Amino acid sequence: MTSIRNDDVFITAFGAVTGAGDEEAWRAAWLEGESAVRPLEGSNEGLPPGYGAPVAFTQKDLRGLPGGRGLRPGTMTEHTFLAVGAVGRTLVAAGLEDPSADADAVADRRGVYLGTYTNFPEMKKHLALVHAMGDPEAAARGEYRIDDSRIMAGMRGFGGFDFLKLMNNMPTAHASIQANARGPANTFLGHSSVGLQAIGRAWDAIRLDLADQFVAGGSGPGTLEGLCLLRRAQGRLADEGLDPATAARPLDRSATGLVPGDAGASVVLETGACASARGRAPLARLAAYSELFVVPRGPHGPLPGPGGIVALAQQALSQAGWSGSDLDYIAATGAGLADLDRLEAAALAEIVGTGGAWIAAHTGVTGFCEAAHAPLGLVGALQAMADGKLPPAVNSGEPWPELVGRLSTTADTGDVRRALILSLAPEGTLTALAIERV
Amino acid sequence: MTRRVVVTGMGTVTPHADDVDRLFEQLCAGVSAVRRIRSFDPSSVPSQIAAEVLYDLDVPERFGPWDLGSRAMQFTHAAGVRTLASAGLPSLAEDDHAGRARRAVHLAVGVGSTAMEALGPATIAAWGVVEDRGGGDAVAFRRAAADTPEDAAVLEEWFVDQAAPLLGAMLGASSVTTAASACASGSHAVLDAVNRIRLGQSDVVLTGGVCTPITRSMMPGFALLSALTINNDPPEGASRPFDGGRSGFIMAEGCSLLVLEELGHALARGATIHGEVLGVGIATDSYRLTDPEPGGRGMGDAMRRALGDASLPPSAVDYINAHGTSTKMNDAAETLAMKRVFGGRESVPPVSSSKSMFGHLIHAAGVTEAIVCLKSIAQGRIHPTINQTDPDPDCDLDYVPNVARDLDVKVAMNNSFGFGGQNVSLVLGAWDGSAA
Repeated sequence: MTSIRNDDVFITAFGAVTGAGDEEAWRAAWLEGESAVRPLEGSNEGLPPGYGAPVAFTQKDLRGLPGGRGLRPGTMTEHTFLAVGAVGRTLVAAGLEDPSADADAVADRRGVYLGTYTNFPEMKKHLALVHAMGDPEAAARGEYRIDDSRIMAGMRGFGGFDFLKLMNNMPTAHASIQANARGPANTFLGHSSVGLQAIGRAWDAIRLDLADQFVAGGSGPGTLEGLCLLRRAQGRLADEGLDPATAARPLDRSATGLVPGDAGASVVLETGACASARGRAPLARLAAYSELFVVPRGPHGPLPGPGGIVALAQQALSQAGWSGSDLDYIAATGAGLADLDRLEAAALAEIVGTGGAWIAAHTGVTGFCEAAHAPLGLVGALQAMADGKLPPAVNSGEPWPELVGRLSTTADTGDVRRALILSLAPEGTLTALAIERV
Repeated sequence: MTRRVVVTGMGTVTPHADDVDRLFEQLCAGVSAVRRIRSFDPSSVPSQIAAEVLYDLDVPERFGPWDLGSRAMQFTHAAGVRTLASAGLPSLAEDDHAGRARRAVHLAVGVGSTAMEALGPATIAAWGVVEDRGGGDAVAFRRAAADTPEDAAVLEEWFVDQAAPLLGAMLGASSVTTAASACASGSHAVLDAVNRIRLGQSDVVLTGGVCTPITRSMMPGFALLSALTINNDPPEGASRPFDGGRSGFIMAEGCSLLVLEELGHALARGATIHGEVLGVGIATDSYRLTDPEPGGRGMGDAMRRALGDASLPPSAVDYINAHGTSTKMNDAAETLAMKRVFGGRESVPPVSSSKSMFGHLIHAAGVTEAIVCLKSIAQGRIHPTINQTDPDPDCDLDYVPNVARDLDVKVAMNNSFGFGGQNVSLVLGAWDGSAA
């Protein structure tokens, strides 16, 4: 019979891969106010909006990570690469360099939850398939008509793994092998909020006594071809022709849209007993997780108003037993979408009230990293708790009116004990996580 | 005391029918829904058969902000309407915050429709048509697609994250989750929904799965994985779980949903209770992406954990609805795992595979088969595993061969095991009539 335990759950390690490098390099760039957004070149040439913060992660990079030699790059899309990169770094940081050596009893109590957007194929191959299926006579008339007899001709060059790797659970499937996790494993799908959702649900699973330890986070290949084209079709990308270094402008009135960035970011969650048995010192305690679905005005937003964001934060604060003025740090979403950012700005002002919480927004450094965006914000909060450095809102010199005087474009220092991480998807799913330094 | 979770609504859009009673009736009659593919001419692809939804669904063009043009959205809407009607649950207004706060959606989704062919005009505009694959100009395509957003918008179908919000709006839910664990997804969504209710986060969860994989690229693609059978003739004889002649699974499409509800909440509103979720179990192989651990370790762990969660011994289970895909490796490993969990061949209760008749609904499979278990409990009847003609020594259990059977089923187990090694088992039972 399931029992529900209310012991504290802690974060004991974190790791990330980003367009600015690993979590330490990313942090250094952020504190320096440097943007890693650059022109999209090479294999990314021609992708709208023409700039972004891609991660150059290769098979060679996998080899030094836990379980890396057993992983098969041919079975991975970019989603999976970013996931195993982040999970690998997180395992190392957690002192789990060789999870495969763990006893069955330990592996049975370890889980993996990751958030990601829908897995997406190498588009060129699929376009070649589309191309090959086209009836030449129809094309001569400027039309496209499929000739089913040509399907298999288009399949030449495909292998089975080209389709297997599209299964949406592949990032988690790979990471569970990498982490030797035999407890719960799940992949949460959707927009930016699912990375935090994975972490919140991992906490739930520990409360349900399904596991003692979790690796949880998200992977977001923002510069993926299909995703860039989709975002362009949705009218959500930033304008073309901007200076890449200043194009990503979180919570800023002059932002023109999403600047795509790649990232994977994850944390280890575990019970105090589990951490203690391994001799690991907790970094922070999970204080609250909340989520809220708000029916958007359109399938990709906008949200109807700031009320849902405020309600979300209030749920989290209530669960933690805090008020807005107790917060030292808020990791905002700051997507760079005008219709979302202005609502977030209004909500942030209401949440913080008369308090002095530092509002952090990392989009200016590595763009909008989809499902990894909020886990990366969580990593930033943990780093601030550890080093007392408050990072600047890069490129946010003209914030929405509610945040004038509250959003700083220069770094500072301060004592960060309590932090709230917000993850707002314009499609309606909102998530928030509250943590407290140990 | 853990909150008890009961089933108060069921709805489905499957190849057999869009009605759970008719679905179960046809399964008990041993009727296969596997046919030669009709949505395109499959003559040139290896696997030419599938279980398609061939009847019309009365679905509006839009619901709220969502376009219901894709097959996945149509299935989801249709199944949602049927399930909510079955549960007698009205949708809640957007400003009913207190009511919505207690409702959630957990939906499993697969890869999208993969309707890349809809990108044809942009592709052709950028590349022209040539006889061979040639070296397409990706940059030219990107520019062409970016200049014609209506073409790039078909990529939306790859991003299957619209279905759960749609259900969220239909139900009036404050929490929406989309997740996937391959072939275990549907049962996994049920497991997550149960846990959400147990944690006190929700009183009502609409949960299930949707999958629409029968496309020009996915059919040959999965054939390349050697996962699909290529024994196309006769279609009805191709899905042969546990039979010696099995050679792969049959792709299927559909959507099935359950309304799960906290017992006290269901009783308070006078809901019809179709059964109770007694236990849920999850385990991960952490072994290989495509192959189950040969000893069935993860499968067995999922079954044991579900029984432990239900506080029931293996002997309490009267019937197992197996994952039973009709692949060589899965069926042998599942058989071995069942024998280990239940204490030997003689102790395993009757086992049947619904996939012998409706193929593999992938992300909707587990939840559809959970509905089958609930109907078995309600009607005292278990459906057969059809196409049992050639015994396999590695698969030596009672698979209810070819003919349905009357059986008093008080407790049923449903197994779902996914590519990537994710395994989920559910233990379902009749509601005992008590409120405690």
